[in-house]
Amino acid sequence: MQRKNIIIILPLVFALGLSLILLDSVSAQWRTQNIPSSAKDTDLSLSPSKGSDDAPVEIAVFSCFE
Amino acid sequence: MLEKYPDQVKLIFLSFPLRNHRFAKKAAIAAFAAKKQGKFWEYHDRLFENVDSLNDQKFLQIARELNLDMERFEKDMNDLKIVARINQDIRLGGYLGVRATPTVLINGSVSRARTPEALQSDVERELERAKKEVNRKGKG
Repeated sequence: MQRKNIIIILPLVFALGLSLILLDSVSAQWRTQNIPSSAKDTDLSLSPSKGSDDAPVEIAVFSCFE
Repeated sequence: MLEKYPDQVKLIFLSFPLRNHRFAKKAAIAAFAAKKQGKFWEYHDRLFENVDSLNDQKFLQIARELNLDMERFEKDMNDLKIVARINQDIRLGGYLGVRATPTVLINGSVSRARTPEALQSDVERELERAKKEVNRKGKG
């Protein structure tokens, strides 16, 4: 009986975990593509930066000093 | 990363002072006040060197050690434009789901890299993509 429960529960837990990962990934992608205007106002050119302005890759790092 | 790809990578700093860190926001304000005197990165490095002992006195001490104009620095520490700028970064981070720091965006997308090696691999993938894009435009 206990073994039967494990056989049923394990795939469910796996499926739930997989769904959460997928949901998180889709949500992150959606958020990146649909930034609201209040947040879009952030002009990254005013942020402190290092490196070439023409660089093809921009790495922006959210940092906390403490 | 900048040393390895000096012409291909640009590093941008975004503030995301965590709420449970008492002096984090003030540290960000101080760094932006130093930016107004052209010493953001020097101040940034000193803040991280003193990460365990940040307080109001330390902000002034670092500014003095970097030979900043103290009168201007103290005035800029109360500059509402700086606070607004930091709040904008926080809003953007909040919207993108940033919960911890550092969180890295590569060309606008949140990177899931948790190690320097994984980050490098993400950057190389993005460089490859940029190269292909340039080639495609060149042909088109």
